[in-house]
Amino acid sequence: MLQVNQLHIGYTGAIATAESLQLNPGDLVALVGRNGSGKSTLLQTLRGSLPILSGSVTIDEKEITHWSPQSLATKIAWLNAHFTGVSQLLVLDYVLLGRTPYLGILGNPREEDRQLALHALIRVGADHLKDKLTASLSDGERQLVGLARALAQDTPYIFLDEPTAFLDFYHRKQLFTLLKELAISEQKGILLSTHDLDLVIGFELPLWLVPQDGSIRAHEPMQSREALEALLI
Amino acid sequence: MNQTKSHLILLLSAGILLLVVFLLYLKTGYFHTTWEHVFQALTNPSDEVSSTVVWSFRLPRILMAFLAGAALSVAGMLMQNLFQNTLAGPDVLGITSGSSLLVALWMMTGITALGSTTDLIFLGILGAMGMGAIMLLFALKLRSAVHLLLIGLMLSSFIGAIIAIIQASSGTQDLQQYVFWNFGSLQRVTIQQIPWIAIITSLGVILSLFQVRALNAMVLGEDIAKSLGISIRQVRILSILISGILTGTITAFAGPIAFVGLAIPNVTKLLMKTQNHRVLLWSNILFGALFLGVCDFAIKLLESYIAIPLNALTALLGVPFVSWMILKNRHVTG
Repeated sequence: MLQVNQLHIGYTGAIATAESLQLNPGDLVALVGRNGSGKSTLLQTLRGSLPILSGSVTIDEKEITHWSPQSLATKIAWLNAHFTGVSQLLVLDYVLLGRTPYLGILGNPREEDRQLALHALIRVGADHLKDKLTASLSDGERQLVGLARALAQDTPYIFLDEPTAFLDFYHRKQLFTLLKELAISEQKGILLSTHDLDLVIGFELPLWLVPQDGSIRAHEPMQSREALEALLI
Repeated sequence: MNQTKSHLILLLSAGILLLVVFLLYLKTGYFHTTWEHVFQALTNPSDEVSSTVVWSFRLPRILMAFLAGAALSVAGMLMQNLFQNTLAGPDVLGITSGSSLLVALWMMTGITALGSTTDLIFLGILGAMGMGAIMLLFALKLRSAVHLLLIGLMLSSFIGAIIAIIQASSGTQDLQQYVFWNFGSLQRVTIQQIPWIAIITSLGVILSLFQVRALNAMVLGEDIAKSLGISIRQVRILSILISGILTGTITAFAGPIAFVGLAIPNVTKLLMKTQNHRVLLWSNILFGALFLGVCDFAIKLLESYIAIPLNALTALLGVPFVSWMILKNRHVTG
């Protein structure tokens, strides 16, 4: 379990606080809040990219503060919406990069790593893309192979920062469906930040709310968009 | 599998071409030598003129061409990886200009009036390492790689300005000596120095081999690389350190050789069509060595008609070739 206690986050001064939050393997949780409320800052802090101002973040009761990037990388996989592909990088090689934390000192992937990468592509239904160049993918395909990379990383938790930002409605719905499936079938604790309130409500996702006053808290799935918007002011 | 095969074929071809250039180079020159002379000189160097010409003049020069081409290309690959910018090269960190500054001081002001070539080499390495150290300090402080790139470019200009002042206030003879050093030349290296340069270059390559895992992840940007367990600080330190050692050594012995470190890593990526840095590392070594070997061979063939500085020829041969490659690949996405 990923557990947050009395956490203060921000760059120099605290911009938001979280009294108590939990993320369990098997959960798909939506992190919602207006622009600039601190969603990205929270995600950055939880994945160890930004120092904690005060409070604690633990995974299986161990403080993550002093973990090396390598051991953290075996617990949390991270995906953002900004990846636009890299020249000369094939999809399968891209997914294979998810195995980075497990490679030896020479960085040579074993056959087992290749199989895991291929499996991850099959799991998200994108194995037909494996020999394509990452730069030639559509936005929808890019999110799928990104998710495959996160799966190949074989972590109990996956964080996604606005994964639906560049997708049309059909692909957004498809991605949410897939994430929900993966959370349950692969027992992943998935946390995604999003502005897609309609989908969050439609999929009845449990919430982490980041209101403007900066007091982050967990909330039951909600039924109405108006009520949810009211909580974010 | 298919890609692995085409990689092997390309690398093998480069290796064979390298051998051909090597042998032709040893045979060609003012002084007429036969193949017999060449093999005799290589297997059993003696005091005969033909043996001296091959062993003491031609051999160190072609070996230096190979070493410099390989070292600068690897340094360029590391810099382009670190900054995720295809315009980066060993010169952008100010490493080359660090060497130039100390050499300029030595040649034109007489501040270090010790006066032997050994000092020149030592100063070249010292200058490169000094600038490398300054850049390392910035690398530890700055979050953004673009800012680091900017600082490197500015420091190069800053040092360029100091060198301009030194040049403006020095005598014709000193100035000429510096200008010739600045042209880049592979002729100053002796056969006794080659093993040292080879050892240092190999050290850089071996250190890079242990960096492959990080280099591959860095392709996705620092943020994702970090989430994959890579220590960004460690990558920066090692990449700058290795580039500093490689560039500093080569610059000290052969002067600032432009273009190779920028162009070869890009050509290599286009030819090999991969982001796997184990493949790219070996390719850069072979293609870099081959390119500079061919350049110096051309200089040697044209020597009796026109004296072409190494730095001029690398650009004259390289720019049309690289432009053609980019044009040819413009329809390939990414």
